[in-house]
Amino acid sequence: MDNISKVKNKNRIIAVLIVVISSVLFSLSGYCWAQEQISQDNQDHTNGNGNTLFYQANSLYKEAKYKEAISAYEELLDNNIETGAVCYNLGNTYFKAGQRGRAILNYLRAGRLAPRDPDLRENLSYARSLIKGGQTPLKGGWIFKTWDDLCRSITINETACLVSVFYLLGMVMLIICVLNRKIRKTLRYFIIVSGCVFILFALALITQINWFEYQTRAVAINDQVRIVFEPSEDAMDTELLLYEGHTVRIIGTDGRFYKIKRPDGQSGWVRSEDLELL
Amino acid sequence: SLGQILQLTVTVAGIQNAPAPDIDLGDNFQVRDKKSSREVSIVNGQMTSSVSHIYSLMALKEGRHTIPAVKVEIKGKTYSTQPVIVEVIKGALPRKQTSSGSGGSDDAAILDDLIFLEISSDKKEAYINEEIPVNIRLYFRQVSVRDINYPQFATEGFYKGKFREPYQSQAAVDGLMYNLIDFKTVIYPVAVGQLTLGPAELKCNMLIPVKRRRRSGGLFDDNFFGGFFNRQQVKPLTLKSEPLSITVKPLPQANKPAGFSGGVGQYNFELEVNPKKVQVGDPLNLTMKITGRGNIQTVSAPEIKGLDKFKTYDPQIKTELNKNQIYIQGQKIFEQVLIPTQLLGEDSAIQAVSFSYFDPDPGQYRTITRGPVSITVTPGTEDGPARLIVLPTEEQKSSIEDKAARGIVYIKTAPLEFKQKGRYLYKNPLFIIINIGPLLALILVVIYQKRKDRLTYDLSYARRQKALVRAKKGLKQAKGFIKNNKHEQALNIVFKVMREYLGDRFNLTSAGITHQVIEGLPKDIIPKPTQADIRNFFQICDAARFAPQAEIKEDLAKVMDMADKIIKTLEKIKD
Repeated sequence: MDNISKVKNKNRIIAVLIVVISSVLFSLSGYCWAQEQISQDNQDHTNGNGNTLFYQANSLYKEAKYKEAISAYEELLDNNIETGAVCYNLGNTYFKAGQRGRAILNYLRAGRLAPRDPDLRENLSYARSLIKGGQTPLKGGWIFKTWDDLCRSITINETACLVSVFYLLGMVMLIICVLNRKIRKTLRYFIIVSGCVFILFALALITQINWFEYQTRAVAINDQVRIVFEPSEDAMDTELLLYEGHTVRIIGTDGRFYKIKRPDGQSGWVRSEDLELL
Repeated sequence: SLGQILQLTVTVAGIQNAPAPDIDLGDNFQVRDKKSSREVSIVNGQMTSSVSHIYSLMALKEGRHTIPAVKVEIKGKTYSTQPVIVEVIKGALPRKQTSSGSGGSDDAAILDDLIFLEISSDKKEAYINEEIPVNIRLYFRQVSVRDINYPQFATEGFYKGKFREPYQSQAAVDGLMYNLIDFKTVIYPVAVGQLTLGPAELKCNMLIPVKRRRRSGGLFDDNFFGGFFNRQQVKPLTLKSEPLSITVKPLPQANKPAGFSGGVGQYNFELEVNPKKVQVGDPLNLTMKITGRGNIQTVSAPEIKGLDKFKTYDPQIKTELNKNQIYIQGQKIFEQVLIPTQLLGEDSAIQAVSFSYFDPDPGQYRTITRGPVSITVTPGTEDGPARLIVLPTEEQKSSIEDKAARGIVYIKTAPLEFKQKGRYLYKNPLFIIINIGPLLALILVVIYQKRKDRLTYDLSYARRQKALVRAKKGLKQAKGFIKNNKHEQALNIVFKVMREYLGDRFNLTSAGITHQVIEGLPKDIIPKPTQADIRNFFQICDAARFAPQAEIKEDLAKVMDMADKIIKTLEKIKD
């Protein structure tokens, strides 16, 4: 009798594993399919000229023709396409041309597409270390900073994929639990873990969507940018400055002025030509 | 001041016991508390004793009042004190203005008297970036308050510091003693003009004693038991203070030092150069340390003049703040690397560096100058003059930038993958469909499993579900018999089908169903014509079973139609 139940249990576990693995594979294949579709669209969009322009821009960079290289990289990005490599190279070119604000801006743009690239991290950190006024400290406790780091270390597509995988895994396990009462106890903990991880990544995805779609950030591209109290040319000075490369959040606009908020919570008005939107 | 408590002590020396004297204070003062203390001391074998009567008096009226001479009668002899003159000025503590709770206006007025919030500051006028201490005070009396949150207040135009740990004390307001919880913080104005701070908001729960209605005269009516049996009602409150207006002045333009970099507060400045003896091309570290109290984050690096014989790099800035203080205090260190590009000899120096800041207390700019610092730059031992770096001209600036840019990692040589801007996976319809699929599957599985469970555990439901299928199958079989002219068998099948159908449909025993069994069917849900049809059906079937073959054929057609009609009607009925 014991042997029969053991065999039954073994079969049940194998069946569960097959369902779980196949659901993950199904999810991944769906993800890959969707990704491939996007890539195909992108290839169509660049008409195959993307690579040629990229290599041309690289050659100009090697010849230290930074102005021309900047134009070439910008042309690539003007085609409504982006890659981590183009933004990174453009950042390097601006850096070499002495425009550190625009260099930081492009490193940040590259960070959205290749957040864990060690070269990018190195260059961004080096460029930021050269900001004259120092970096304005981020307002908030360690939880806020850790969450910020976590959300910045994965791309929005990776987060969406992770959300999907854990959601699917949870769903499959729930379906198994509904169909088979005997396995409910065994799967309960897996469902809880899977649910928690799903919630974590879903919150990360919401944060990233909020950053990329609803929040506007900008980088100071000129040095010693005055922050004033009102959006007018003769407005009073707040005694606060933005240095080239400082990152700020745009919280309002009025004509030629942006209302900005620094990471340390200070806010004021800045002329739009002193900033470039991320 | 008006409403404040003062102490009047009447001491009778040379006696160990004296009754508390009566004092006639009129309408000017009210006795809030009365205490006595006795003191006995032995010095050099001589014993002295005294009795003190301490009266806590509260001033009720403004003006100059006289506390009359206090008379004490001891062993038939009257002793008297001198009268005391007390000047009562207008109350320093303002009466509460606003507090918001819930309830009607009368309730709100009563509540305002019991608990209120106030925001205040000693500085009503300040310079931009000057530290302004702010007190937010919660006053309450006759009620208990718990779950008190830190107050929140609008700080448009201000940079806010942290709150100090609140402390509790007591204070008199308009002649009433209140418990007081004081929250202290500091703010730094970042805008100029008439700014409004607050209103402050504080959330807490107030406990109000609620007396139970009981019959009077009982044992539990006295105060002792009352304390045990009185319930306390928890009332969540959001208290709101009046806003506070603060005038923020810009820093004066007069006597503004040329190198002023925005620091407001009290600072110290130190300058250090290390090492003081270097070879040409070797780096020197110039450290400028600004320490002090004030919004130090806004301070920028003092300008160093006369560095034309050095190659300079942008300073590395480090800010360290004392996190234990509510105000901003700490240090900002600017570390700058200087590389001498020429021989400077033994008597050269880095020029004096001045740091200017605005001290808001006297309202003056102050300048601290450190240096000059003597340094010695000697020729290099190995490469000598070859290590000299030529100073950049305007044309060579991009080349210098290029040298600075040597610190960055090289460009990417492959483009990796091109992506269309804004085309994110989470917006892809296919991706959304893939994710909706499992949810639908789960819903279907739950419905399926519930039905399956019901079929297993609910016999009547299971029979009800099977009834129609089985009836249709039976009628089909009967039709087959009719085709083959087996009318008697067909009639038996139809009869059996109808019995089983009614049994399954209404959860009855099929074997016992005849035309009389119609009485046992739920008549309220079966329409009357159908009841008659069922009765007729069984009567015809009973009659036909004993009738000759020819009549069976005729009746069979009729019962087939009736069976069909009955089943259709009953299927439409909902239980």
